[in-house]
Amino acid sequence: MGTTGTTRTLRLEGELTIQTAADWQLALLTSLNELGDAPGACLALDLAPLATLDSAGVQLLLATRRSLAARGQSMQRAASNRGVDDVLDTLGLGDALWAALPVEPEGVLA
Amino acid sequence: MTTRHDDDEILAAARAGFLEEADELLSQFEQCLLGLETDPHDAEVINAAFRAAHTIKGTAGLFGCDAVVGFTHEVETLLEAVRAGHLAVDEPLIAALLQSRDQMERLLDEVRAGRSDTPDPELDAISRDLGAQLRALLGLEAPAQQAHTSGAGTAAAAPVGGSWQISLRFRLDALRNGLDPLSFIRYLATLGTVEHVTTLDERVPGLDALDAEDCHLGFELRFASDDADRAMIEQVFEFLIDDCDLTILEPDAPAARWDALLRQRCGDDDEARARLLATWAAQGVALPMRAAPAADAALERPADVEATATSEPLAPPAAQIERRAAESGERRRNEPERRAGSKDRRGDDARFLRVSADKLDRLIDLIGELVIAGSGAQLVAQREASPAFLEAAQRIHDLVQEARDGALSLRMVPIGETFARFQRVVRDVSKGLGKDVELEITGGDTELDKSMVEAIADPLMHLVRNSLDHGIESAEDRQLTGKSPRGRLALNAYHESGLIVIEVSDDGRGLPRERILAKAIERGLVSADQPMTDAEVNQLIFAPGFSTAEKVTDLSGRGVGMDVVKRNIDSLRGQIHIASTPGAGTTMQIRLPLTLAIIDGFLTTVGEVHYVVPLEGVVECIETPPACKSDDGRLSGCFDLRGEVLPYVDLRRAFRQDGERPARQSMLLVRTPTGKVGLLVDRLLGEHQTVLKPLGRVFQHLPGIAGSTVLGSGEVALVLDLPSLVGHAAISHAALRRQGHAGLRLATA
Repeated sequence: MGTTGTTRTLRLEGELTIQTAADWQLALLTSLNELGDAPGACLALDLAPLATLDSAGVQLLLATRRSLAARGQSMQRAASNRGVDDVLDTLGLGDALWAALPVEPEGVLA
Repeated sequence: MTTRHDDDEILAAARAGFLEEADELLSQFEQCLLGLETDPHDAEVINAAFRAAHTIKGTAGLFGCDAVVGFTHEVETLLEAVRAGHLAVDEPLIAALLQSRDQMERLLDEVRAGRSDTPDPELDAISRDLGAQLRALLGLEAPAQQAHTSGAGTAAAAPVGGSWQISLRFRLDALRNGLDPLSFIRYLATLGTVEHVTTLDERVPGLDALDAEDCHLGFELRFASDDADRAMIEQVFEFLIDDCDLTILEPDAPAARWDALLRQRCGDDDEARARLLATWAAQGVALPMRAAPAADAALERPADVEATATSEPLAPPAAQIERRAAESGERRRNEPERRAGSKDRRGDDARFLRVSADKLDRLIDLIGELVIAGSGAQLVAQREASPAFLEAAQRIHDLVQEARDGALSLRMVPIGETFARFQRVVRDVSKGLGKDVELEITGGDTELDKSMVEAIADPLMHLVRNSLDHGIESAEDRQLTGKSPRGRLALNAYHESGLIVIEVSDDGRGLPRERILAKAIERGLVSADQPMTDAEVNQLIFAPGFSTAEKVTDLSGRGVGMDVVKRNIDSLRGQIHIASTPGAGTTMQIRLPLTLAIIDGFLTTVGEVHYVVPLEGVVECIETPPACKSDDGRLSGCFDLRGEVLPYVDLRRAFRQDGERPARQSMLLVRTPTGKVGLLVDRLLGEHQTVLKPLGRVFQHLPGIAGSTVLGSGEVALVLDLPSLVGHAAISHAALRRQGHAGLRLATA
């Protein structure tokens, strides 16, 4: 994991599935903390080493995006692989996942 | 290979579970059908029937029971049409569905017997016939159905232009239940083209609030296919039915359906509505709402939809509200129920646990030992006279008692389920006999031991059939005697002093005393000059091979049955009594002990021997009446209690115990089926909790003794079987008087 300006990169490897979702959730939360709440900061995800991705994993990414958006930050794709792209495309998220989310009104986050 | 072996074992266990579940579902299904017979419009019942069939099909599919799946599918299709309101519930429909239920049961029996791989041609033929019958029922209504949802019916015939809209909202537990939306979408793609997928993350919370195993995902899919019809698409998602809210719109679904979907998904939340409309627009849905009145012009072009979405929430014109209210109202009535229903079911799964009966018995055994050990500890505490020890022992005793009650209640089940089975029996039998009979069930929540429930089902069946066949008259006969043409059969159950009482009563013609008597004399069961009370005459119908029916029907009248009933009930240590009023009806009353392993007893002694009387039979303890004091060698006699003449039995003599009679004896007044009886004992020791242990095989049939128990002190006590004790005392008394010498073959401890 490295920091470039206001961008941090998190490398996701192995499985991102319902079995490991809770672990990755912790890792993502840690990254979010390290990123701070400076608006405009960006979390880049390196998905290239990821072997498996399922709906639970995708949901985790969506949640991450929501948390970032709530702080006026964004999520980027640092790298990806074919399997991951295929999953995201199947769910219609190929590009949509990385699109900026409009800033949510307050109160959406618990 | 051990793993292979383990797999087989797991599979076999799962299969057994499936079959058991299927049985339950079948009986649910039947209940629903019978319910529909009384109220054909009850949407909840229709849904429940559909769900039962659907679940059977789904699980049968998992186990590769193709015959079951194939046939159940037909049933499901028909129910689907009923559920959607395309088909009205009428008598032929219910009859066909009931027959189908039986067929499903037969097919499942084949699976159970392991014969499902080699289908029985006869069963196959029935499946086909019934299937055709079900399809015919559907087919008759086909035009109406097509008019209603033009897409579904015509999809196969005419190639469908345009795309299907599939709207999915997953429920919280979907992922946890191993259902990955991704795989369903992938599978859908094999059937046609998934043109657009939009993953909705509106409900996905922020990372810190997310439970990573919950599912908050929703999807809107556009799907195009040349040959897919609604059934095919539904099949893709059929495993999701409990974990996902699924709505499918045909390519040419009318505006109202879209409108209803919008309302279903978003309710009155204007922002959510706008977002969903935007999603649809982005997917290229040419919103067919333009079919609505001109005021809806804002929705005519997708661009306008965008505008509406971002600027102003959809404001439906008044003219449309009517339509929407009608349709979504209907939808809402169905949808939440479906959701509530499936939630309930999941709740059930969580609340119930299948436990093997052996484990339960072992637990109850252990608690029995605990009761004995606890009593022992209390005894020691009393001897030690240490207040602290006594208090601790008392606390333990209380807890053990609670644990005992809890353990015993594990085996208790309500009798209602058994009763409910008779709905179908009464319906079928009365139809077969051309009678109109109404079944009334009360006391269904009365509980008794599971093994008793199973054992009582057969005798009950005989009694019910007997009442239907012999008891209740035909409608014409009933009208002639001024009764309602509709017969009434009632099943009732209640607890009475530690017994369960089950009653089967009818308002039929009553037992024909003269005919029974004539028949009994003819068969040499009684002599013509023997005076007999009504009760004695009634008991004659339980004699083996006894039947007064003039004609033999396929139900009863062959004289097989009532003696079997009596035997069965005897073997459960129960009794059956008949009360009959000519012309007004008959009530058969079965009284069964709860036969629990542990009983609350009243401990008494005679000489050195301890006897336990089941506490529920004890009425009161009284001083020995003067009439019983005269030691004239009598085994039994009568005494006067507050003006009531009651019989008594001297236990010392009944069990032929020698030894000195103490100066002062006590009398325990107990209740038996024939009335109150006094038991003369040496000492009363008070209430005592005991574990009933069956006697060894050699002593099993000793009259007067139900079992034995170990006291806390390690001594053995005998548990009295009051009805049998009193019965034998009466017989011996009579014999004694006739033969003029004492001799009662009762057990001595």
